[in-house]
Amino acid sequence: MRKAASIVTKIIFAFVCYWFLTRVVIPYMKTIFTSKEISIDQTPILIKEIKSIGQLITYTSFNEVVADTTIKTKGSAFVNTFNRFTPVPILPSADKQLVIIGRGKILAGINLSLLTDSGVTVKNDSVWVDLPAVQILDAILNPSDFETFVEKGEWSNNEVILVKAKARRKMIAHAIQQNILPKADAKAKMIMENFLHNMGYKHVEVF
Amino acid sequence: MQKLIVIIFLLFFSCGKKNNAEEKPGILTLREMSDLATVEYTVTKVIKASDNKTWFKVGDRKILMSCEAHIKAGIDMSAINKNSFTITDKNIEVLLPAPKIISVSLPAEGIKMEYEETGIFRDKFKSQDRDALARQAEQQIRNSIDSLGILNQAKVNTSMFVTNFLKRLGYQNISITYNGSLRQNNMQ
Repeated sequence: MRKAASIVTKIIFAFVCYWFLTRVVIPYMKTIFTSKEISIDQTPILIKEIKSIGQLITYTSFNEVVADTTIKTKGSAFVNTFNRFTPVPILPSADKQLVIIGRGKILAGINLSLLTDSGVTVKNDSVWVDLPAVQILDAILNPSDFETFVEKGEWSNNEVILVKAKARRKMIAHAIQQNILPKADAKAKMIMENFLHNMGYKHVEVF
Repeated sequence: MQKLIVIIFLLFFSCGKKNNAEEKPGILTLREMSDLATVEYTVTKVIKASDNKTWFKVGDRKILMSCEAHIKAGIDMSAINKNSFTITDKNIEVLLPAPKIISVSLPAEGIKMEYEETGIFRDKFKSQDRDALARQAEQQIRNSIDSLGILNQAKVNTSMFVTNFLKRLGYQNISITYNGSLRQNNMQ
């Protein structure tokens, strides 16, 4: 009986030790050598400009692209020359490399503020509307849409902007390949036709 | 007895929770929309941060950046139907859907480095670090959108935009109301 009580006590002791280790000691040890996340201060938001626009957004392309750039540094020439004289490359590359993944969206549609008075003709219950040409209205790649996959060397803000601009161009090209413009054009016409039909016009022509 | 305790320990350790939280990729595709954006706000914000909270890193790092964001607001045209119009001769009443935020954009070109100070024992801010700070700024801007009054401005601009369009169609007395609001913009 006493032996059984001793075993139970030891099990409880072991369980308490385990709990203390996993819940207190190990989490503390894990965080003690972890870098604290840098938080930005709360600063005011200033309104710089308020602009009246008239953009009919009819299609959005959600996409993911990879953009990468390698820049030769001062040390690159030395490393390359040295490695040329060895049977296998010994020194690691001194080139700067940045590979980013961007997940953003491209908005396409029509800038209705370009619609002129002559673009709208009304006669009794018929209406003709000549819409402006469809275009890419926006390419949205926010900081939260980017992931840095590889970053070797020091990259200045301006150099990173160029890589991100490359990602943006790729996204636009991909959206155009997906025929976003003809689709956006057809959808814009459909929206305008529905709008005018809903107003009671019997004969509607949008082109 | 000691073996028993060791076995119990092993059992406890082996029953740990596995973190299987995998990020599901979003659906990347073309999507139809029917949004009419009528107002665009350009806002600026200073991104200010100091990296001095990690005890084992000797020296501080400070960074000051500025960013510019473009916020568009407008209405969803797909919510407009036959019941949205009441027409009597040259008079028209239009019931439009409540305005909404259409997009928030922080282009990379709008994020500028203003000042950086790095202690001799510290590395400079990497592109990844700067992105993380810009992400926080983006979140702060998103959280403050309501206080910018952009939705009210969107109502004003949408009313103006629709009025101009209806005038082109020959209507003279135009009344515009918004769903979910009692505010009425009469434009004659």
